[in-house]
Amino acid sequence: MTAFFRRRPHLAWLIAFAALVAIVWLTATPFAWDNDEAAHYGTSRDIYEAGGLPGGDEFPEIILPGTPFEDAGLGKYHSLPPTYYAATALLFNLNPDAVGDYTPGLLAGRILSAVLYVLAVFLVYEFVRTLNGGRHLAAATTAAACALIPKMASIGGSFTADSFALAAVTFLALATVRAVQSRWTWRATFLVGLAAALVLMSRPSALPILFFPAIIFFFHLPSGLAGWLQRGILMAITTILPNSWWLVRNWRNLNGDLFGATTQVEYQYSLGLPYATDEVFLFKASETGHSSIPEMILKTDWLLRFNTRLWLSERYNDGSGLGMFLAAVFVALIVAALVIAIRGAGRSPGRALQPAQRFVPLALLVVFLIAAVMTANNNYVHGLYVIGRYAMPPAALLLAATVGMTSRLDSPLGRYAVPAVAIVMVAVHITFWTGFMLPDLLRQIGPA
Amino acid sequence: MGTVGYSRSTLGSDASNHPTSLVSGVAAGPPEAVHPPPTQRIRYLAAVLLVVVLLGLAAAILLQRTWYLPTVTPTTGSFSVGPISEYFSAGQTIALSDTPISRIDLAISRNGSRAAGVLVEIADARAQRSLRSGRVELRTGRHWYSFHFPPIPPDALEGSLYIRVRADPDRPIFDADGVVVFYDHGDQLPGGEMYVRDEPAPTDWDLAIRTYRPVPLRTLIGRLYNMTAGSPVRFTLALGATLIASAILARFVGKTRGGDMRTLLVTAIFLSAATLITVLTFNGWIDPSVATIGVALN
Repeated sequence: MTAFFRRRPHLAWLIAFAALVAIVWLTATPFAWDNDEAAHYGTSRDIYEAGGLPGGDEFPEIILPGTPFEDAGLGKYHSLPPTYYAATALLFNLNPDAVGDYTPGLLAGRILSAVLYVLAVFLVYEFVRTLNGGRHLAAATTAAACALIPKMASIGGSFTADSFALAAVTFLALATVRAVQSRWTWRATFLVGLAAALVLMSRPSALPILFFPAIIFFFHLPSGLAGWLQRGILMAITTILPNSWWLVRNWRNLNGDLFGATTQVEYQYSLGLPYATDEVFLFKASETGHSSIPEMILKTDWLLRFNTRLWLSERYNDGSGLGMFLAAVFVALIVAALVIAIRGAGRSPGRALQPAQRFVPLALLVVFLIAAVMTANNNYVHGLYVIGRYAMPPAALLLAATVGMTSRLDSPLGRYAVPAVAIVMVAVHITFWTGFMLPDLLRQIGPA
Repeated sequence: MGTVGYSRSTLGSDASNHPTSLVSGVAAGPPEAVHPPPTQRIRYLAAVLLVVVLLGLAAAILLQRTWYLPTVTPTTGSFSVGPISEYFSAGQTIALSDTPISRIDLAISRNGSRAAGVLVEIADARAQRSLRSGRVELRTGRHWYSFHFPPIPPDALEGSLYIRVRADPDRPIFDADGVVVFYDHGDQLPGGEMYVRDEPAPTDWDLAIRTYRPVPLRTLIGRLYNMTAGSPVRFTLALGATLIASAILARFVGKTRGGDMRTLLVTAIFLSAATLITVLTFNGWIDPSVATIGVALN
């Protein structure tokens, strides 16, 4: 263990930093501050109380909101991949009674999310270190900047399967760039498949990241079609096999809806339970008369909401100046991703990049766009709440990859990119806490 | 420090920020302490003073700000009443407790392309007496407006407080202007009623409304201390974690550029300036559902 940390100077500090950020969030935010924490919590609690996963005859009623969350307007996530919920149900045994004002099981679940968040930050560090030629401090600072994305920290502080998805997504990104570096050895290929399996068992919203290894793997095609196909088959088997039990279960229980998301939404609607509040009437095609997704995006404030919820929280509609600032940062990242794809990441000393690695930011940008379109489609078809967390992990990885690769440049841009981004994210985090969180938390304390 | 090569773990920043391949057995002597020249020390001193001035300004502005604590807040999502036009108004009665009220927030939006404004009036519902009123020019993309007024003590009222939003007869608005007031999907104001066209609405729901009372800063700080559901332990943990995490991050940022004083000071100036700008432009930076557009009623 000591040797592990000696080979990675600053990692111990980074882990301490991420853990402290998670502690701030999990202690400062009240239950259900994150928009669907009650639904995740309720799902796990059902499993804990029943002593097992719900049987086929309990669907679809088991999806409905239950005590004590009838008023929350939220269902339970029993139709979604059950691994996270089964695991967190076990945690209730560690925390069966209330601890302070944490309801039973909540503290254990939040601590698990914090651990997964710290793991994700560590994986981002390794991801950047792989891409930036082994610059440890730059990698640690970049990972710390990502950890300060309010949406990411919020996930680390709440009882949510998104924390599992975040860790799985970052693991898949790291496994993929490592596989490229090792020229897709069998072991590296197996690890990519394993990481993809974790993504599959986390949440349907994490699935767009599967396009990342798919895109990058295409660059390996020139090495030989037979070997490429064999590796592809190995990845597919490794991805699907560990998940086959619940895929079959969902197939049987939910009439072929493998991932359960459609069942979740449509069953609630069939009973007149809107998934969210007034956003149904803002974006759903059948309510608004919009004839296409582009029309919905152009004629409404969808982009503003999406941008705010991508970086900050689903609790707010419009990030105003802060949202615009973050959008400008994101545009800069997109430009950097394109420049890196076209020109490479410089010829500074350090480990050379594999040809495919220069396309890593661009591939992540494609994944981000797919996740964004998936979100827009959910709003257009189902009228779901505009959710930013589907697209946040690829956006964070895009930030990490572009900044990390820019730090390879032997120029002022290369020298200042990492500290500048870290300072920007500190400013964003401070502004978010002073401008959004504290007033919001103060409002929650009730009558003075 | 070592005498053979350099250790990334001890030398830290410079070494570890270079590629791994460069870190090898390079002989290096122990580093000598380097003192900055006098002119540079003056610059450092000026920078520290600048940071102190910027943070002091921010603190002074915060101290002078009128802070409010909520007495009523919306509980669920909101839906729209309206559109407000020359024939349509929306209102709400509020039963005051023993606390004077000096601010009410309402969610009002405008979707039309034409400039539009509404009249907002606060009255004694029973005595039919206007207490405060004013006109607000509506903006697009923002919908929370905070109406500030001299405190209204409960004993000054014969009945409940009535707040009404309607069109200005001198400057009519129409349905196409898309002016709506939002209501809350719940009975969040016990004893209060929502009004449409000055008649009680046939529902238990109330206008999305937030009422406040002004408080001194020390009360607000006390509230912050207790904000996590009355748990000082959680607050103390959060505060401690924030301070230590900030120190670690300062270490990262400082060392990324070689751990020099200049980088640290530039960072400190940047963050102090960001804090000051945040405080100065509070409402411009933050979400309209939290921050509001201030409107004075007289």
